[in-house]
Amino acid sequence: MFSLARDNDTICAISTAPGIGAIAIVRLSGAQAAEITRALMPTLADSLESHRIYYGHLIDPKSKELVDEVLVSFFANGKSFTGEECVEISCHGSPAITQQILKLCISQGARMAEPGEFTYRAFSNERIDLIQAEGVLQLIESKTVQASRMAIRQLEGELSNEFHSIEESLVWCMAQLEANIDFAAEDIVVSTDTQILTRLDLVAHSFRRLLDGYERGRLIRDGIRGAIVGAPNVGKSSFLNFITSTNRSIVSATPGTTRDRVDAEISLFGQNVTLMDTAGLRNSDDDIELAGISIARAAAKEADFLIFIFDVSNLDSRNIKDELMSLGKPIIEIGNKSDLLETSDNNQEYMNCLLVSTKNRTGLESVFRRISELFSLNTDFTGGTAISARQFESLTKAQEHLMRALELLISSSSGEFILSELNEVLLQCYNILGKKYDDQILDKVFKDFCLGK
Amino acid sequence: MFRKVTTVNNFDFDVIVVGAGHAGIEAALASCRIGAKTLLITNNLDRIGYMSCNPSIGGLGKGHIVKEIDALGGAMALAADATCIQFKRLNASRGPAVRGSRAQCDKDAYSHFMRDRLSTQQGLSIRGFEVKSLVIQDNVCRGVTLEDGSHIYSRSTVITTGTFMNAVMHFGLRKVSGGRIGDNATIGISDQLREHGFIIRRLKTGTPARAEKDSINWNILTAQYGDEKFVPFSLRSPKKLMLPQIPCYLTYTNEKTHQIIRDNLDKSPMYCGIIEGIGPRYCPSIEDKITRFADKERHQSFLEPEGLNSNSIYIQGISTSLPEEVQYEFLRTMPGLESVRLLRAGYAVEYDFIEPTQIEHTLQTRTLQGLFLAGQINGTSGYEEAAGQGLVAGANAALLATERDPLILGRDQAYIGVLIDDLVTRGTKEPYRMMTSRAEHRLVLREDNAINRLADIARSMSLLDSSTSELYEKIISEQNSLAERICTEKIVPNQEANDWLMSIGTAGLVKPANYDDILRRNEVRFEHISKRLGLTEVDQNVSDPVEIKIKYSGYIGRALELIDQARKMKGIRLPKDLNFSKIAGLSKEEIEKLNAVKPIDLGQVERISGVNPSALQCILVHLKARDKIRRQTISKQESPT
Repeated sequence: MFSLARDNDTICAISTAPGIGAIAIVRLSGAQAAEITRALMPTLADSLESHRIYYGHLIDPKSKELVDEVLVSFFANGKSFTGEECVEISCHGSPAITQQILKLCISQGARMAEPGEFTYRAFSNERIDLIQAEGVLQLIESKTVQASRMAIRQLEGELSNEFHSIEESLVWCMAQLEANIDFAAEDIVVSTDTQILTRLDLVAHSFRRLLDGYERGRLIRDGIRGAIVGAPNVGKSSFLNFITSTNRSIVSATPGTTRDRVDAEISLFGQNVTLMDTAGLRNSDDDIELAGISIARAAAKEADFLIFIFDVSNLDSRNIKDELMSLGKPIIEIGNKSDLLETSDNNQEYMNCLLVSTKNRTGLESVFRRISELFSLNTDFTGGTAISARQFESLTKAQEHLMRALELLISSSSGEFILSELNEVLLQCYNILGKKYDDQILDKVFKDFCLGK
Repeated sequence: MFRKVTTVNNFDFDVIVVGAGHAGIEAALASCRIGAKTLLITNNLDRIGYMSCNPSIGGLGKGHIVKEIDALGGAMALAADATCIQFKRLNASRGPAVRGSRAQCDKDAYSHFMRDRLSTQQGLSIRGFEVKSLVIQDNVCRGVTLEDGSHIYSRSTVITTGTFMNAVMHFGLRKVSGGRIGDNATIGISDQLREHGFIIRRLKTGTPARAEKDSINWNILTAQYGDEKFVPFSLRSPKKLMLPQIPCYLTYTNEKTHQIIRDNLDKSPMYCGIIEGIGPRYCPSIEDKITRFADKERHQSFLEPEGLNSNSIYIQGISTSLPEEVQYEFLRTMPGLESVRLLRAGYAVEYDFIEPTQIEHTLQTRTLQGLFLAGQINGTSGYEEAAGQGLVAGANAALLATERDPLILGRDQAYIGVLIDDLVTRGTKEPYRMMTSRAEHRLVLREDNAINRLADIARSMSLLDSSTSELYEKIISEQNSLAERICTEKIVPNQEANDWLMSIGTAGLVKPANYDDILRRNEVRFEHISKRLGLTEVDQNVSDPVEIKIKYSGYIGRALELIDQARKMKGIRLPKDLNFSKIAGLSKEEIEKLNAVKPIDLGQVERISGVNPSALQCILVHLKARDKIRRQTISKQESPT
């Protein structure tokens, strides 16, 4: 009987449309579907009932960190679309989450499905007939054609310049390295490692920008979250009330008034920004205050950026900045109570921060401007939502291989090793562009170098 | 298995090989080794194994092929070793996969060696005939027709006519029929193939002038010597050089040279549009070089002796088709060549080649059963590329004649596999030359491990004689025990061990390790370890592969994983009678390309340009359906009526 070794693999894919929706589904099919899911969701029952939905938390088995709250639908062998054991993990619709779930499934032994492979299996297991299978495949085929057409259309936009220069740089670097191997005996001058490094660095930079753009796309949908943090009694709650023009937070002169977290939303350039007012950070013996402080720390961890407020009349309140820096989040530093500053004061030490007076209601524009800058809210950007989940996946892989290539280049490894990594980078890029490798590197070698016996 | 040729003819031979160049020789020898009664026909018995162009064997990617030919029992490596007059290991300072051996050879000695080799080969007859056409009946090739109209019948036929088919030589604007100076063109065969529906196109190649040795002022030129250390291509060759070693000499073109060439471009057939064939981009003529790279102030040229006692000097890098008097003029502007005399001017050759997508991986043509093609006729360039194909074509011709499984080498097994797969999958627009960058699995296709890759398959095809087979087996088993020893022998962190480690320039140990851990360190070489373990005089053919496998285990391991993955995903064979037009979901363009190439597996499907990845699933569903229908038919037939 006709069969393939690969037919025994458990395959996985994101089954919902690429982009951002409220929920997304990651689908697994194959003998290990439940086993792999269980490795990620320890609370999943040992024996599962077909066509039942299970609720639980997906945990990264390595870091033990929570990935998402999910619903898992189980379909027993013989009772699913593919005819094999199947699991559908319904998770929140952020591509970052679906990507991570996919990655975890793969780390547990699943493999990315090839285009049309679920259909192929359904047909193999006689769940659908030939005509149905061919119908689905035709659709996939036309979608592939469409996708590459779309990739080409995208190439007319701003993204195109980015990808063209990425491809050009990669091909150039690879041609230099290849020429240096295959035509080492010829009288040619190839570029130095430093020149290659410089260009690859630019590629890495582009990748990062594209990946960040994707991340930014996520932020824009889910909203940006900022935590207002600082020492007690520097005016955090006053700031929240000031910035939202409300009296959401209770304000008093007593340090430690805010215990619980208070959230408020503002809109900047049509973008929702959630601000979280938190308890002042300090050592305390008060159990309730301690609980509030731990909530504040959690909020800071969860936030996309921090608004760190200190009191210009009490510079000790600026000291906890170092602790906050360790979170690795962008920080907007605000010196409050600027009304207490003498105009003659040398403001040199406030160079890197914004001065605000919640009392006199001054300095707010600069805060808005800083937040907008941080997330480029007032500029149109391309590259963010323009890339799909599959492109994001390819780009992530490309970035990994590029990093390894850079390492090898820096440690002066022989060219063929660097090239074996760059090859993967280029293949992923061509994946994104809907293009095939077609001797572009050799063409470049012959074009740029004068060779010949 | 090869399908049986049904016929009533009495065959004169199992296999006929037409052409005795580098492809023809390996084809005839391989065919005989397999046990087929073989006839080798050449129209010039004096030019057997003749090196028509440069006097070297090997180089990057090419040296790899020579070693593979050796692992498959062929002769090229032996000939190159025996006639080497300068040896070089290219890329010696780089990683092991891209090191390439190259031997400059004494051309006459090389030819002699091959003639001797052929004359002592059992089961081989050699004849000096001109072949006019092929005997073709019912789309089966059954032998050849000679000039006098007589037929010689065979079960299979290998054509290795090189650049000779409908060949035209260009000397300036003068055109002369012929495949090489002193040899006639082969007229007839390509027209006959065209009548049978073959797509035939033109390629162009060129060769530089040959200078008289005593007309060159050697004193002012810099000598270029080969390596001190000689590492033979063949595992069967003696480890020492047979011939004295001689240097090449370096000279350069200059602005004067370029000016003369520029002034005479109107006399170059390339630039007047007289030549329509496409030339190799990696081997442009000097006219091309100075036009395309106009800002380059000079081009280097090695003056390479064509033999120890030969008066002929190959002027490397200056291939040209300008008229002889212009060649004289510009060559005489180059240092050392001020009063040069030419034995022969450079010239260009235009010739017919068969679009290679019409050939199977066995090198049998798809249209004519029993007809195999190898070498430049398939659009390649280079002695090594020709020889590699010759070996595969000759072996398969013999395997077909004796009704056995064919020899197909994978892209992950051999450069020869890459070469053939590239040709039959993608075709070629210019004379195809091997380069390491063409092999996606190049980290595992190394010169050092050719027998590890190929000895088993060679043995199973009866391509190795018993002494060669035993030698390869012995080397591999010694490699295994050496590797075992290094990977299991412990070294403990005591004073003595750490003193030793420091003495060889590497850090001491804090916890016990095996010797392979030590060898993996950058600064440690195999000799350090072997000395300490008392492994004296280990054959380099044994130690090199072991050292490389250990030292580069990380990279090699990853490369092997990729190979496994590709085999698993794409290793499925497609049935020979698969009609792609019947597969739903494929685009028109895809169907056209697939039907033309007739891929043997999914991997090949993917490599065809213009075929989308989603085509793979369409093909798989179709195969599944086909299989289902077949099984249903069988069970119907089996059920009682």
